[in-house]
Parts: sequence; C-alpha cells; structure tokens
Amino acid sequence: MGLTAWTDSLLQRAGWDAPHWTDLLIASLVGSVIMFTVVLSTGGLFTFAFRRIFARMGQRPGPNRVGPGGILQFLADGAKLITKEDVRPAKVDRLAWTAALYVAVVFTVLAWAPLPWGEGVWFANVGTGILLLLAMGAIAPLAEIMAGWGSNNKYSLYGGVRAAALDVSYEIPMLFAVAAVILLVGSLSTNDIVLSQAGVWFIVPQIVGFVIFFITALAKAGLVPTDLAESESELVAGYTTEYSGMRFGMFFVVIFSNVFFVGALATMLYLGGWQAPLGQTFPILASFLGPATGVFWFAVKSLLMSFVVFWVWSTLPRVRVDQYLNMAWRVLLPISILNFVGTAVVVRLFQTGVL
Amino acid sequence: MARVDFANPRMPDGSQPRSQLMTLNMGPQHPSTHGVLRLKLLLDGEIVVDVEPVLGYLHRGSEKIAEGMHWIKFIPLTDRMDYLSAMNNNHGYVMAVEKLLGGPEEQVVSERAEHLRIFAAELNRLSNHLFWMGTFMLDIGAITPLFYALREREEILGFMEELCGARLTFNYMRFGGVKYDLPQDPTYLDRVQAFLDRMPAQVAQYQRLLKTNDIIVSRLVGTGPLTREQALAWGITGPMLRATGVAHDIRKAAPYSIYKSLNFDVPTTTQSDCYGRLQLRWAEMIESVKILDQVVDRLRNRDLDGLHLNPDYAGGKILRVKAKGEAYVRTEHPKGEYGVHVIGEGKQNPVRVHVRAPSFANLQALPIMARGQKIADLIATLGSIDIVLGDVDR
Repeated sequence: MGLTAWTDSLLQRAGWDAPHWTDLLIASLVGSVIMFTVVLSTGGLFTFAFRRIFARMGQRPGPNRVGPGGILQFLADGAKLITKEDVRPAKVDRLAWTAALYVAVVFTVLAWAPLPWGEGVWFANVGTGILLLLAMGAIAPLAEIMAGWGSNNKYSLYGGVRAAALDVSYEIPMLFAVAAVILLVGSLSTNDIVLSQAGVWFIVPQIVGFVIFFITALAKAGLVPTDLAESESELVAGYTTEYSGMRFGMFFVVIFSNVFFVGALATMLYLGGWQAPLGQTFPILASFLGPATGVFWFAVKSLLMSFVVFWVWSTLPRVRVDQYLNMAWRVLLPISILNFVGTAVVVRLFQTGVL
Repeated sequence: MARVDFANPRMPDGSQPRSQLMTLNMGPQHPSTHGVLRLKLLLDGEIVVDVEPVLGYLHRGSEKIAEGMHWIKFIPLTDRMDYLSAMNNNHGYVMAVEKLLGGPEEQVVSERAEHLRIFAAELNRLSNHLFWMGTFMLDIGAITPLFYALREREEILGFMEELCGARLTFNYMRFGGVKYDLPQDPTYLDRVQAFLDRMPAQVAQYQRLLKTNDIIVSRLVGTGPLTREQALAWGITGPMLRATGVAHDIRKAAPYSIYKSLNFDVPTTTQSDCYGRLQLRWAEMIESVKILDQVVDRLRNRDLDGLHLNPDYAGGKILRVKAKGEAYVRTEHPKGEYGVHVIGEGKQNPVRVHVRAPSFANLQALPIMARGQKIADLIATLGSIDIVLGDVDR
C-alpha cells in the first residue's frame, strides 16, 4: 500500500467525511512530509554514521560526545548550519543558484518513492516504478549543473561541467545494467523485481551487471572515488563552493541520503530486496517483527551496502575525470551492452523452451 | 620562473590556442596548495596550459628579523620556516654559526652532542616524510592514509616532546651542542628502539596498501615528469632530484656532523614521476631508520665523549667576540638542500642571514612538470614536490 493510499484510508476510517479531492490533498501533504522527513533524516543520520565509520577506518573515535555514542551530532551540526548567515554572493545567477538546491532535494526525495521497503510497503505504488526511480535519479545531476553554472564561480563551473560529462557517461551503462534485470523480471514494477528474486538473487546471474551498477551508482550519487563534481582537493568544493549555511547543509544531506539510496537500489535490484536470504523465513524473527520483517531485511541489506559505500569512500583515492570517462565509455559501456544482449538471448531461449 | 603571458596565451607546444582559455587563480585559499600558495593557471578545459606560482602570502621577513635580534634568538624562528622539519632547520643554522665561530680544527661540538643532533634530525626526517605521504594522498583524494601516517608521526612527536619539550617547533639545537641531554627516563632509548624496529613493517604496510592500488597507480604513474637535465638546470634537490636518478645527497656528497661514520645508502630511482617520488620517500624512510638504529646503538652502548652542550659556546660573549666574517653551510634537509649563509661583524646581531630553502627552489619546477597535464595531475604534482609555505616564503 502506498503512503498516500494509506493516509487516505486512515482518514476515511477516522470518519472524515470530506470530498475525495480534499481527502487526497491532505493525504498527499501528510505523505510528502513523511517522505521528506524520512529521506532527509536518513541523510542527516548518515552524516553521523559516515563520520564514525570513517573515523574508525582511520583509527580515531569520531564524534562521540553529543547524545549516546554521539548520535545527536547531526542535529548539532544542523543547528549550527541553520543559524549561520545565509550568504548569496552578489553576482550569482539568482534563479539557477536558488533553484539548484530545490531541484537537488526534491528529485532526490522523489526518487525514493517507488522503493519497496517491505511486502507492499512503499511511499508510492507505481506500476512503472523502476522507470520513475531512474528518471528522478537522472534529473538530480541537473542540480549540480545548475549550481555549477549559476554560482558564477570557476570552481563551481568546473564542478558543473564535470557533473554533466559524468552524467552522460555513467547513465548509459547503468541503464543497460538495470535493463538486464528488467529483462529477467519482465516487469517495471519494483515490487515484481523483488518478488522474482524469491529463489535466486539477481546478483548471481547478474554479477557483471551488479559490478557495473555499483560503479556507476557511486558516480551518480557523487561519491568517492568518483566525487569529481565536488572533488575538494582540486575544485575547493566544486558546485557547492558558493553555498553556505543550511543551503550547503542540504547539498550535504542529499549526498549522504544518496549513500543509502545506492544501497537500497542495489538491494532491490540484486540482493533480493525485502526477502530474507536464501529463501528462508526465519520464523522466530518473523514472530518478533510481524509485518515489519520485510522492512527489517530491506534495511539490513541496504545498510550493509551503505557500509560498503562508506568503506570504499574511506579507502580509495579519487579517479581522474578523463580516466573515469575512458573507463565508462570504453569498458563499462561495451560490457554492459554485452551483458544486456546476453541476458536477452538467455531469457528468450528460456521462453522458447530451448533451455 | 618564467611568467605566463595571460594576455597572449600560447599552448605548451607554442601554437595558438584553438579556443578561449580560462584563467583560474587557485589559491591562496585552496585546500590543496599546502598553505597560502597561489597558482595562476591558464586552462584549456581540464588541461593545464600554463602555471605561474605566486609566492609571498606567508612572507614574514624572517631573514630581516634575524638582523635585529641576538644570534641565538633566531633559532626558534628557524623552527617556523619549515615547521614540519624544525630540527633540520635548527641544525643548518647552528652549523652555520658554529662555522663562523670556530675554525675547522677546533672541536666545537662534542661527539655526544653530534649524535643527539643526528638522532633528532633523522627522527624529524622520518616524521616529515610520513606527513608528506599523508598529505600527498589527501591531494589525490584518499583521506585515510593520512591517519596511518599520523599514527607513526605522533609517536615520533612524543619522543621529541620528551627530548625537548615541544612537539612542533622544537628549538632544540644550540651553538656548541643541543639544549638538553637525553631524557632522564632510562627506558627512553629502549622505546625509541622498539619504534624503530617496528617502523620498516609500518612502511611495508603503507606499501602494501598503496603501492598496487589501481587508482593510485593510474593517478601517479607518468604524472609530473621531470628529466634529469631539467632537475639539474633548475637546481632541484632532495628527493625530487634523486627521483631523476642523480644520487646527490649532502650527507654523502659533503658529509657533515657524524654522517661519515654512519652506514646508509642514498636511494635513487629513474622513475621521475609522482609514483617514483612516493617510492623513493619510502626508501628514504627505511634509510633514516637504518641511521637511527646506529645512532641509538651508539648512544646506548658507547661512552660518547663530552657534554651535550659546549659551555664555551652557550653564552653570548663568544658571539660578540668571534662572530665575524661569513659562513655558508649546506645540509640535507628532508625536502632538499638546505643552505644557510650568515654574515657577522662581531656584534650580538647577525648582519645578514640568508636561507636557501629547498621548498622554494623545488617549487620552481612546478610549471615544467605540470604543463599539458590535467588539473588533478597538477595537484598531485604540487603535492609530490613536498613544499611547506613557511619554507617557501620565510
């Protein structure tokens, strides 16, 4: 059940006797608020998680003073950022500079809508969920380009141009990798993708696709080793150079919520989504968690994948932009096309009964 | 250093640029210029057409200040030139003044003091190279190696603190010796030795983690090339020169202090790019450990003659009487050749102190190394030189 439908039914059960459109409006508003809260607080919490993991990798304790284990650190950081002066440099392109932030936040949040958190648990039940998800994800880099151009700063411009160059190069291998999964499923619904992994997770037949997907998803989310649009040792802060205070904070939160998003996407596409591993049911666990079992497995897998992202982040240096483009066009693209064609042939052979 | 003609730009091969080039002022506020260095860049997209380093943002006039203060009061200021290898700065300056004070046959510094000096200087070389490795990895985007390097550097700084009470600006060496003898703690040298025994394994760990990493190899191999002829023509010294295959090390070429009696090699490589420089500095760390092993062994087992500080030179009187004439001393600093030129007129102030800073001289090579490379390579190349802006500007 989608979030809107759920709030809608709650309102009706509470005896709300309004016309359907008001009903829907309120439900949508409540749904959006919940969705934004979930996504942005995930991003916020992940800044904390990142700092702790990063610190442990570097043999440091990390932030551990605010709240139990330092978990409220992100609120303290947020409070600091909100109370900072909001500086708008005099010669920015006002529209592009301001809108970039909203584009970044809105489309990042929207991309989460069709994620299947559990059996029938999602923000929005969309028949063509994976398409919506990828489309929203594809708009998000536009924000980097807008910010890069609108900031009237050469470092930002370089960041924006790099984002554009990267965008066209990772998008195609990524779509081919995902398309191979869609071929196996035969449906665009995110729920169907998860359900068809009941027996074998797609990471087994699609291991090549998984690797390609992971590499390109890191670039899409702007994460190390491919954080080229931001690359702080070269471009100061890339496209975020001219943002300060909470505006910068929101870009930051978007990046960190993307970490979870990458993990969640990998989980959904390749790691069996909300299903327990190896087709088991774990009755004891299910008796504890009840209907939340699916959410539990989804969260565990996504968090594990997010940890891998952080791990990569703290381990690898940054690739050079031309080296990444070379790899994307000359290595990832051919392999992803081969993978796609091969999958198509195998699926067709299965359908015709040859195999 | 050739100035870049920004009004009438040319491509690296001398041809007319096909498109409009962009001028970018990188720094003085930039995370990767190692302080307040400003680079005027001429860019064709991601390609660096030309670079012009602009110096002076950290110029404190140290050399001029020296003229207004007592000889001995300048020692703490040398700490602040290259603040990552303060001991080596101390060493160069006190050696220069000692040369001014005493003739070559006169025993100014006791054997014990010389050993303490080399002990401190080589520990500092180790800590300098460790910190260089960490920040160099930061420049190419890897953050965690810094903390691995700092783990060992912290231990060294701990030893330094026990030795002289400071962790960064040591102010340890004096004319005629060093300020303090070894710490009272009888386990001090044992702990240093334990650290030294562990150090080769730590270097091996860095190598295991960094040497064959695909991204590091693809980022560093061929980045920032410098030929032997260019290096010699531009007066490049230190690891930068040795990476071009020239085995020039003042410790061997013109041995000072007790280096003649110590057994060590001068590592060289012919892979004169960022990758080669990284390898070379690892090899130098191992050599420093070898030197330290011998020095610690002598400090422990041999009854080294003399006091840690020659009382004849500790006071100010001798400076007023004998600090006449000129003296130039060159030492092997972790970053290259560190020369100090002092002129005195028998007063308590020097007339002139000039420092030949290795960072300053080596930075000259940046444009010839970076031309035609990518912005990311420029950052890596700059990092591989190992500059400290306090040393460049003074």
